[in-house]
Amino acid sequence: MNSSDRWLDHLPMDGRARQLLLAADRDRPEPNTADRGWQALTVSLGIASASAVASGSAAASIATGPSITSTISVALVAKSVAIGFTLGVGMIGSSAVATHLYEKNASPSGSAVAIVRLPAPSPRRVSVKRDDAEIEAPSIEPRDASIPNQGALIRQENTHQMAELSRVPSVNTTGSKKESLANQARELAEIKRLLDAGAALEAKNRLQTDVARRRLLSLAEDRDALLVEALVKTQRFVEARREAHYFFDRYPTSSYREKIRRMVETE
Amino acid sequence: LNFESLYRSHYDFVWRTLRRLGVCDRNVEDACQIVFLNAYRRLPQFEGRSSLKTWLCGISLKVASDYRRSASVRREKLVEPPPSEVPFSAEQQQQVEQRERLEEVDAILAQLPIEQRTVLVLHELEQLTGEEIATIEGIPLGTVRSRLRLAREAFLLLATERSLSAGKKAAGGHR
Repeated sequence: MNSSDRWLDHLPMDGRARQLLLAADRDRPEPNTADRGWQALTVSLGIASASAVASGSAAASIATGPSITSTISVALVAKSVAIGFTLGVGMIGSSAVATHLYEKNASPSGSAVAIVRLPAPSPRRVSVKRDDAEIEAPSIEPRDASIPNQGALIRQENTHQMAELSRVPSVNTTGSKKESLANQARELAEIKRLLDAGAALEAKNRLQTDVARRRLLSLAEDRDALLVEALVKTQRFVEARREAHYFFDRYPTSSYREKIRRMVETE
Repeated sequence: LNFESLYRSHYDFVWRTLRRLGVCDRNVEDACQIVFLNAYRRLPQFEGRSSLKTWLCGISLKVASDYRRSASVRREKLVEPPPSEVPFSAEQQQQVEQRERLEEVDAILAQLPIEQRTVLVLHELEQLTGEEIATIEGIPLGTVRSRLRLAREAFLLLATERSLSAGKKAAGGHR
């Protein structure tokens, strides 16, 4: 059974099976796909850790070449948004956060709920300091609206309120202990963007800093859910399980519960 | 060989393997990322007992398996885009035909048991040897052979059935 002896070659020339196998044989990724992927990979791994890992045993000859200084393209960032299957789990999307925010702030009056699409955030550079390198990531563009689990579809009663939250250009990451809910929401959205852009380590650090400083208190549940996601994405599975355990204790009826359970169980 | 070379020389292989093992088009890039991310992290444990291609293939199979199992995928229902009214050029027509064939391949492969599907994809499309597949799957060579035989029979049967069914539909349409 050797690889050069192909069944394909023995099939009738005009047979459907042969045509189909040939089509599959010719199937290739689009030209720039590998480049985009490589950019994302260098960001995800980071040059420092990359060098350390590559120095091990049988892989000693496999060194790393990439420079960490790279710019994540908008398309790439968008690609990362819906890694619904990353590490075999569904991810907590920014839409979920937005929905959750809404639900926390919505008035209890029974007025009609409209489905609206958030306007695309204006392109913005997010600088992520990592050792001596800087990664620049534009903000995320929503994906194709025709796909139901993409983009930021949120339920909202007042479109202006939520649109305003997504448009504010800067985030105050230091300072006042008592921040407005809008500021907290912006901060959380920015961390989520970092996470989706592949800068999971940076997102994790910021979330942990926020936990330590007791910030984002109004959105602690969302923040803690994101923290578990960030830990999973940075492959800190033991810590992720521990955080998930705390999360379940703290928020026994959380809507994130099931997602988090799947996330940590898969690992 | 550095990691970038490893990545670039095997990217197409990983991409195709994931696609044919059930990862849908819009998620395949992300799945590739997971494969190479895992490969990178596991590199220190790679003992060189198999080829890098075989090793990457094993990781790809696991990622594809996780993907198929994920609840979001099981719930997901992809909606066909509406047919375009714009007339196609010859090149576009070819692309459409290629796409349709790939969809058909995926539909047929999806009907095979995953064990047969894996062996068929790895041997017939990725041209891995029986021994390599046996190593990746952790099964005897004889089992690889029997799975391959069954997979070929099933693939042929399903392709023929679909061809006949398409022929009948076309004939019905002309009446």
